[in-house]
Parts: sequence; C-alpha cells; structure tokens
Amino acid sequence: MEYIVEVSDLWWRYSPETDWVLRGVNLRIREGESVALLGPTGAGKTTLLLTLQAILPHAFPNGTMKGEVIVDGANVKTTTSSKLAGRVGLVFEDAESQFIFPTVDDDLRFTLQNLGIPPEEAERRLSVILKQFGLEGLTGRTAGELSGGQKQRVAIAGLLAAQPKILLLDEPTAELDPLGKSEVMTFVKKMKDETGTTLLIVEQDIEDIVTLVDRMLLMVEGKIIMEGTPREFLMHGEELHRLGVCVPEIADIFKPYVEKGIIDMMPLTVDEGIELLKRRV
Amino acid sequence: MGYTWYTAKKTYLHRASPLTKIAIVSMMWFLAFIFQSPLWNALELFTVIGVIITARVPFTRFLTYIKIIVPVMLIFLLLFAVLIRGGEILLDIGVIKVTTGGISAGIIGSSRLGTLFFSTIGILLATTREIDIVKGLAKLKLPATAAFLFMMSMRFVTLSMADLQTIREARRSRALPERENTIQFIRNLISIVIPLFIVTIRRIQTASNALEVKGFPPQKHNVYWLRGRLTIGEISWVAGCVAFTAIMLGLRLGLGWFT
Repeated sequence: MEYIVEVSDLWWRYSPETDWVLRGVNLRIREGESVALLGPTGAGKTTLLLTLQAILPHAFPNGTMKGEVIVDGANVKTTTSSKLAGRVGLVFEDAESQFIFPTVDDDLRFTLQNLGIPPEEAERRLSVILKQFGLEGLTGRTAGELSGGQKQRVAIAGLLAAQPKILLLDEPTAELDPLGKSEVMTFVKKMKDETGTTLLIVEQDIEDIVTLVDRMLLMVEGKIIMEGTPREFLMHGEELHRLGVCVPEIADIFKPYVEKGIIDMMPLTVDEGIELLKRRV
Repeated sequence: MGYTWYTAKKTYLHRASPLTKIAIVSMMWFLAFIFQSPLWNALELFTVIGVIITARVPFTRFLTYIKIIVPVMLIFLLLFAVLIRGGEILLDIGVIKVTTGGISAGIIGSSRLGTLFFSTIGILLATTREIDIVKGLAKLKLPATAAFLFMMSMRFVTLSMADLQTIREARRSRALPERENTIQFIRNLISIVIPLFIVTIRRIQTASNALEVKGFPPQKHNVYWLRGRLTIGEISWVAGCVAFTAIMLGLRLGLGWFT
C-alpha cells in the first residue's frame, strides 16, 4: 500500500525570532489508514496539520521550513492550500469561524463550486452526503441556529462532498459538550467506515478515538516521541497522563490484568474488557 | 443576535436583483455626499427609511445596530450644532453658541450617516443572501477576492457584535460594572476591547484558512458559479443610477443646487 502522507525531518518556526515549533518530525500514513495525533497543548499538532494542508509555509512568509512534506504526491512547498482542496480537507477546532456563508446550503456548496464541480453533480453529491449522514434537516438553517456538534458535522460534510483522499480533523470536539462530542465522533466513525477516507485526527482525549483509529502518535515539544496501536498506548496510561493526554480509566483498571497475563490484551472499551474477563473465567 | 444580516421574506426588495440593489445603494452613498443641504439630505434619509418600511424589512432584525447608530447620529447633530458657527445665532449661553449654520451642518452630518447605514443594511444586506451579493459584485467584473472581501467584512460586523454580546455577558457574570463615571467607563472598555480584538483576530485567521481549505480563490476555469449574465433589467437600473447620479452631480457643481 502506498503512503499518501510522507513527512521527512520536518522543522518549522513561525519567524526567525521564535523557537522551532516542529523539530524533525517524521511521519508516514498509508492510504485508507486512520491515525490519531495526541499531545499536550503547544506540542505542534495544529502546526503539523496546517503544513499537511499547505497553509504553511505560504501563510507565514517569515517562517522557516526545513525537511519535506509530500501529500498525495504534491510537495507543500510548491503547491498551495486551494490547489490541494478537493484532495485534502481540514476541519478546524472553531466550528463557527469556518462557515464562509451563514447558511448551511450555501456553505456546503462553496467547496464544490470552487472546485468547478458542475451544478447538477454538486447537487447530487450534496444530497447523497446529506442523506448518508442524516443532515437533511439542517438545510436552510443558518450557522447561528445550529449546535456546536451540528456545525462540525456540516463542516465535515462540506469537505466530504468534495471526495477528499485525506481528511484532517483538528480537535473537532474540543469546544463541544458531551452530547456534541458524541454526535461528531459517531459521524466520523460512520464516515470512516463508509468512505474509507484516510484520516488524521488531532485529539487530547484518547477515550474519544480509541476505537476509531488504527494507529496513534504522541507529539511533545514538536517531536513525535511515541507511536503504536491504541492498545499499546493504553498500556502507557501514566506516562500519557503526565504529558497532558487524557487516558480512560479502563487503562488503569485493566493494565495489571494484562501485565499479570490474566487477559491477553488491553481492552479498548469496558464491554470488551468484561468480555475478555468472562472468557478467562 | 443574528449571524447574518439577511432575513428571508417575500418583498419587492428581496425579489430585486442583487446588482440592482448594489446600484441603488451606491447611488444613495454618492447622493449623500453630493447633497449639502439639511432639506435634501434629510429627504434622502427619509426616502431610504420609506423604502425599507414599504418593503416591510424587519427593523427588529438589526435593532442592536439601530441602538448604536441613532445615538451616534444624535451626537453628530449636537456636536455640529455646537462646534460649527455661521448664520443667525439661535442660542447664546456663554461660550456655547448655537447657530442656524451649525444646526444645518448637524442635520446634514447625521442624515448622511443614517443614509449610509440604513441604505446598506436595510436595502441591500437585509434583503440579499451573501452569496448573491458576491455574484452581483462579480457581475460588475469585480475580482472574486474583492467581492469576498466585501462580503466577509459585512459578516464580521455581525459576528463581532455577537462576540461583543458574549463578552458583556461574561463581564456581568463576573460582577464587573458596565459603567460608572467617565474614567471608570474608559477603563472598563479595555476589558471589552482587548478580548474582542483577540477573538476577532482568531476568527479572521480561521476564516482565512477555511477559505483556502475550501478551494478559494477558485482557479480561473472553475468560476462558473461567479459568472452571470447581465440582464436588460440590471443594465437599465445600473445605467439609470449612474445617469441620475451624474445629473445630480452636474446640477450641484454647475448650478450650485442642493446646497
């Protein structure tokens, strides 16, 4: 399987006077893979996503970039974000500010219109996406009439209609209440299962994404210092907690059972843990 | 507080082409500065308000802004009346002298301000969807980026007002006084202006990134949705507004009318 994202020894700073935000990042993502990027605030996660979308280095002419970033065959140094649109989609933490037009319909159409998708095809794609993800009821509404979760779902749907190969989600649930969080994560799971789009999601809370991703990366002070499956990550609960990553309690509960060989693997959910224990009994 | 100026209704202003409304509003702006007479400027302001009322554009939608603009108009009226002197003295209290010239200048200044505000908001923004404004501006061959800049600027006014409301509520919940004396009021303003500034900068940054992520600016061959053909009606309205403005300008400069 080919790598759709290849980052080699990436260094970035916003100006010559500031410190390096990214310090030698290496990252490879296969097509169709789902990866979570974890880390404390200020680790450089959002900066890395902005680089993958080719917003950096172009938005900061005073910034310094070293290393190479290839996304879907395009070098971000020589392409622009608007040229990558349609192939790569980025959803920001602030759901509201990414609405270019105040109404859901106009905003959903905007990406397709910019990509030159003919109107009939754009309408067809939108109606499929709206139906597939249960968003039909939101058409005709303005951003102010939507909840935080609905806004994020609309933002993701608008990008999905462009059929991107990679979807980058920057803490999409950070500003949401538990209900909004659950809405968005269910939506992302459905999207991943039904479209097979490559996914890179930035989060600070492992619990929300533990069953969603294939691989996890831990970023601290501009470097990726840990990589592994969600089960492997849950075995390092204390260390992650110390670094500002929220780890579910299930990790603390089941770690001794795994270490003592009572169960063979770290469960990802409470149900799975109970099932493993039942099997053992 | 709305996230858009637009209110869906079926009025003649809503049905009118965006380009026609842009032409009318532009004409109103020019006329507001061509006129230099309390009678003509006030007449223009009342015409604009009359158009909005007959079209049944809901004033309540932008009541928050009216609450700001009307006091500012009154301040204009008072300041001009006190500071500008000329003609007959109507009131003389020590250093304060109110003259007919000052009152005229006050009416002209506040009417101009009112005309600019009510024509832009009431005739154009409250009756036209943002995307249609962009299309209308694009029909005038304005570059897509410039048309979007206008639309986004208008949107940021409403978003900033919503943010301002949130900040004021946050201040109240922290028992901060809204205002006491003038010094206290100015000092309190800092705790409104700084968060508002930070929130707005953040919004601009995200919106600018979101625009690029959504493929803006479109490649030249992709702008089909911004390309629109001018209709005969639109051409007539634009030509009519330009001609009318030119005639009024000619009458003002050549014959000294409207002063």
